[in-house]
Amino acid sequence: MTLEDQGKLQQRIFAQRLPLFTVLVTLVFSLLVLRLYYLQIVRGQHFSRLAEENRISLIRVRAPRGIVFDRHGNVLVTNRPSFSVSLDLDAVRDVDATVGAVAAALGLDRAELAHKVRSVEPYRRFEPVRVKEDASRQEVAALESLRYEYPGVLVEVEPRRSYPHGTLASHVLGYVGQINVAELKARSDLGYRMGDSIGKLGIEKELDAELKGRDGFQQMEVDSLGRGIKVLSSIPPIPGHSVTLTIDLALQQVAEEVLAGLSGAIVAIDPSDGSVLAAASSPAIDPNSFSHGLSQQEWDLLSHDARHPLQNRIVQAQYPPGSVFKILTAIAALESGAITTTTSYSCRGAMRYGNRDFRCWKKEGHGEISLHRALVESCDVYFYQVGLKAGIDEIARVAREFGLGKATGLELGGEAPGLIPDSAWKRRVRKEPWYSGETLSAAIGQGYDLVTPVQAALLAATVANGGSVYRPHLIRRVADNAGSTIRTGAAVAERTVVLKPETLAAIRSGLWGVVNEPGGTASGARVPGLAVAGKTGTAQVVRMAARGERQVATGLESKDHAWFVCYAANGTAQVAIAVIVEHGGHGGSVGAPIARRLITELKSLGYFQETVARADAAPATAPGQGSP
Amino acid sequence: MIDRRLLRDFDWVMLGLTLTLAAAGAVGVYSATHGAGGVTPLFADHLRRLGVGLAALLLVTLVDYHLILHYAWIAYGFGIAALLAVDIVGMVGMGAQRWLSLGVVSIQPSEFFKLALVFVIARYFSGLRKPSPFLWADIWPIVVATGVPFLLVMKQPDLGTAMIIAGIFVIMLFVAGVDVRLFAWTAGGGISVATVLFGLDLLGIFNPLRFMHDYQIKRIKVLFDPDLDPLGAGYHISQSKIAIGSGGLTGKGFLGGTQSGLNFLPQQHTDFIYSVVSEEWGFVGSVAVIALMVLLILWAVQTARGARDFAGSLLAMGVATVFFLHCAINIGMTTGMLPVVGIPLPLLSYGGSSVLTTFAGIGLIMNVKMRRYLYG
Repeated sequence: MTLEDQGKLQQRIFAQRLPLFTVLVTLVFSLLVLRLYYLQIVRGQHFSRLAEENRISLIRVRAPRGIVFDRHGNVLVTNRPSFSVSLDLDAVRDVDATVGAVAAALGLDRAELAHKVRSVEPYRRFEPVRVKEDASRQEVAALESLRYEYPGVLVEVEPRRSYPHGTLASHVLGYVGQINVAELKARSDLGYRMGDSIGKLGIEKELDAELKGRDGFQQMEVDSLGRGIKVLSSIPPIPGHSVTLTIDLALQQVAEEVLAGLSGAIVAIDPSDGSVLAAASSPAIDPNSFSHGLSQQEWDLLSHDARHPLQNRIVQAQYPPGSVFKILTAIAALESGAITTTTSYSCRGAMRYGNRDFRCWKKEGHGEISLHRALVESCDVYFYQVGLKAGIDEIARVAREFGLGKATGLELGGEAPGLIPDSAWKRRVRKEPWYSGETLSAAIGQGYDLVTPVQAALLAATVANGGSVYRPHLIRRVADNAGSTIRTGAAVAERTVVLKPETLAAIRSGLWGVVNEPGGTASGARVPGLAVAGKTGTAQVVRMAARGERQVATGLESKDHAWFVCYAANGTAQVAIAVIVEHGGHGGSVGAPIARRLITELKSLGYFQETVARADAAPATAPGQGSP
Repeated sequence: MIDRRLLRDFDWVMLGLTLTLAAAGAVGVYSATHGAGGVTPLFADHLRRLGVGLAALLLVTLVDYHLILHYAWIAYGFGIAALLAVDIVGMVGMGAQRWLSLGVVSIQPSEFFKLALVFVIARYFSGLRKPSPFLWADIWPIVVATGVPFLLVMKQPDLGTAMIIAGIFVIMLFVAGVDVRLFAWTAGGGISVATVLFGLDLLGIFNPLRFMHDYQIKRIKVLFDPDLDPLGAGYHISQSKIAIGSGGLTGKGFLGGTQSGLNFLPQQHTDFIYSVVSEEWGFVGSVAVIALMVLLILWAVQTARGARDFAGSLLAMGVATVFFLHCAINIGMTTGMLPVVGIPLPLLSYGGSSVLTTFAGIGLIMNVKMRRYLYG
């Protein structure tokens, strides 16, 4: 047999067997058509009834949002049961009458409710329409009596967000509210639906995807009154992930206590890893009130409050750093070699530069003064001189190294970047050259410079740990429902500022002197048994020193903002704190005692005892701490 | 490379059938994925993939299928490597390892492997230099070449793909001309082994089901009694049956599906797309889809019969077999006749790997048809 013959034979057998395949295909598909005939024609009525005649009602089972804990496992945010009222339009017999009765029982506007019911899209009719969230017990009782007359009124128990500590850490935790159209559009693929709750601020917003969980469904066979007969099938909800914050509840409480009645912010950071121990913004808001929906009136009151309670001062408020900035001016000058630790200048209460007098806060002057005492007493004239020698660009470079001038990356939305100006910035933004007179103002933090409270705390933390710029963070751990860790918030070193040992020693000894030496500006921050070092600052509200333009304050008062940044240690640095009190006056008299309260609280919480054990593990931090 | 006769013989009928089915699928995918915002990213994705599929189809028609068969074993090698890679690094999706992540896209190697297997079988038998019917001594290499991937996908575990690999093997070997007595002996042997295993299980010595995943056993059991587990495995089946059944004679109309509109159907735009189509277009629409599929398969059989050579016949036949098995298993699954095994419906389901391989496969059938008069 030739090859060609073989091929012919093969194809002949193939052609003989092919019809059997055709038969198989026909048989199988006939069987499928028969099956479809059975399902759609023979039993079509039955399935239609199941699907369409409201024999089956679909109920969404809301997933409880994740719980939020503080670093020790204390509950900061949880859920409580609440009643929600919905209308199942397919079970409702007389829509107008039902809407009227329900509106009356719940105290709702009848026309508004009727409009809401009418505007349901036809293909959504099988999903009940939410009528009221968080109804009271009285309202639910009133509805119960209507159930027989007006079928289709559903009352469900749902988890609702609850903040057991009220206003505590409100700007950190944030709040939830109903999703709006814009938010829904942006997340159309992520399982969000109309009527969902969504985080609107703070951790609730930033971690919404993790906290949210996944709603379940229940398919329930119901009778003509809309009462459930039997659950046909259900997909259980998956609770959201729980989040453990780095916040220490006890410290947070103290922070808010001391800020009560004031406008301002406090940020306390662990310098060894950047975790935020406390972050307070005052005045606070009550997230619980958002959870059951604010009225327009309440919202107006909040948003027009002259003290801006809705502003998250921790990351959103930008203030001139005032004398706090002298830390950076000094570092820039020392590192660039513009001055040494022994350089001294003479202060006569003011300094003539150009055709203007740049004043020191102390009218009579400090006399001949060195770097150490200039830090301790916060001499302005000394730093005018130092600023001129270092130059604005070098100062700005160092400030940016320390993380100023850009968002720190703290897990709270809407962070303001602050502002660290230099000559390039001035040319770009103001279309003007940098005037050296402006360097003088910038050197004492009264120029264009702006910092946020979290940036100020980051500065203190970086000085405290010797130059490691850790990204401030609030998330310690995210865990799923079963308790297994999804992710942890590890320490992230953004960069390390390389400092000469003598620079670091000089700055630290100066800051120690601020608190502990006679004539220091912050003796109010002393805590027995601990080395506290810090720097006061006054952010001028009525600007006069630098730019010569007198600005009339538009706020409540014309008093200056009081800054105090510090770190406290027992061997190894343990905490870095930034305090700002708006219109508080002088940083030493207002900010320092606040810091002392916090440090004392931390001490009683045992923070500084751990140090002994941890000092061996982390010897790299803070050599020669606190010796003047 | 492009002969004018190729253009003259271009298979417009096959292209028409393919695009009609794809259009029906796209309507279903739109219906299954549409939200408050109209066109969803998923739907746009689907359209893009159909575009890529069509391009692949046209590309495949350009290359002589002999050249493709020439590289059959290389394609097979890559296929096996990808299946192994899934076992090793693949990500777990839907309780079973089926996906392989290639940076931006995840692919399902098992989808591509089915075509590679068809290539190898077609190449092997067309290259056998002896008259059929073939006996055991002639076919053992192909038994090994099929057995290895079969075990691999069983291990993943991907029961659906295993069923399809077995189906390709049996049908293609039958039409290729393997002696019918071999089939009889194998069937007899299989029944005896099953009887022995069942006997051992009854005696409590050995449980053959322990090689299957719990969820697979459950799905098979639930098939016979959905009420066994209405909340779990039975959910898919009962929801899908309600959707299809409630479609009645003419369906609920475009976007009128209440089961799908409410997201009752699991994976409704992928494996359960047929339920969406059946709910919205009723018995008329469901049967129309089946009719189109039968036409497509018979047209492919026609191509196989008229092919220039045995290789072309086997290739067209093999692709038709893959298409047939997919359709039959998927529709059998959505109508509650087969266990839920996760097999997409060709041309209709959302899913990149499936769209691409189906279009490429149809391109091959058209390829064979276009070259039926070419010699040399």
